[in-house]
Amino acid sequence: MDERAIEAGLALRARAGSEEAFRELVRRFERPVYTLVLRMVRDPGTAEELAQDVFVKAYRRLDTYDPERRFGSWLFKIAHNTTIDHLRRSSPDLVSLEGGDDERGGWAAVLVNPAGESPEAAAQRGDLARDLDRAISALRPEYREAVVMRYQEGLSYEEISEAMSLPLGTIKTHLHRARKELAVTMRARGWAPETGSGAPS
Amino acid sequence: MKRPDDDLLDRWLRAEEDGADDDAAEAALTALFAALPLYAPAAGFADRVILAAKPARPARRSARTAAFLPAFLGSPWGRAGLALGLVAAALGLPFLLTALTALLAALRPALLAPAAAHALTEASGYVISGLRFGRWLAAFSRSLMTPLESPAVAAAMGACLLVSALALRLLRDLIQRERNWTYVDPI
Repeated sequence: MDERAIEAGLALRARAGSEEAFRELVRRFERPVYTLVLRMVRDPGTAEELAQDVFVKAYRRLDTYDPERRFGSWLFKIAHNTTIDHLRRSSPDLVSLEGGDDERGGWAAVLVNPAGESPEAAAQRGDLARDLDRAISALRPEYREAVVMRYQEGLSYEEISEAMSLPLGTIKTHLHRARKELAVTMRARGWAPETGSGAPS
Repeated sequence: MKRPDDDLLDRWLRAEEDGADDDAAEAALTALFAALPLYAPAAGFADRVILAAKPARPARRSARTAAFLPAFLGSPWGRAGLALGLVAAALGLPFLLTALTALLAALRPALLAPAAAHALTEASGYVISGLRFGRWLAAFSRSLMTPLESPAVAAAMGACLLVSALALRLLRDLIQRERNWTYVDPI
């Protein structure tokens, strides 16, 4: 059975009242949902509260979930709406993930490193992750959200279009431009192909 | 120049430089994201979600109430309160009997009959008003339906309903579309 069917089955069992099925869904989606929200609000504490809110809303609205659709895209739509509603209500005084993070429990405090990685490799990946994170943070919110859904969570264009309530063509344009902007920012930060041209030294 | 430990970043940046193959750039960026560390909420997140999602059950509340009573009555303050309550009830009993006697005397048929007649008149008034409104509503509906017997008017009415439905749909779309990032302050 593929993941999609398993998730739909879990959702149906959760809808029928199975706490264990819902717990399994939370376990499967806690990182993707948290990552998406964190990328948008850029504050780990707020992101955790909002992610929790997303799952609570999903639990209470499980009766509206259509098993024909992918559970993840339905959940991401709730996450999208919850994040936007939060950002509209709140004043823009949130902590940025870019600076002063460690002592405030910023992005470094919530990164999960794969086990068995050498310290050098982990440091290098950490550098790359940090720079890519900053490049993503510099994107427009709609680009950022589409990038996370597409490249981090593997959603299709159609699913992103549905989650963000935007036309398919707009999503494709957003992703194309976002990728170009990311590449420019990464090159500007010193990451360039070995034999590539136009890279700063 | 910084270098990653693998060629994922190279593949992506080269694909973006070439600009010809969008799919290759997409695949390379997806692979790059997959190789990066993940964000994760604090431990016990699922437990907190379950706790927040499931409201407290009424049975547990009644169990708490049931447990509270014996504990309260078992305490010195509870016993003192119960004793004071019994004393107050004993002292109030003569007054209660007097009050009940006076109430029963007031409920004589001679006094009750006018009150009942008044209530009946009031109720009849409301029923008559309701019937009048119903008649008016029926007449109003008939006057609305009469023009619809003409095909032209019926078609016009149908068109109006269609336009209204489309307008409502458009309004709903507008409200939904409002949940986009255009209307959110960038941080």
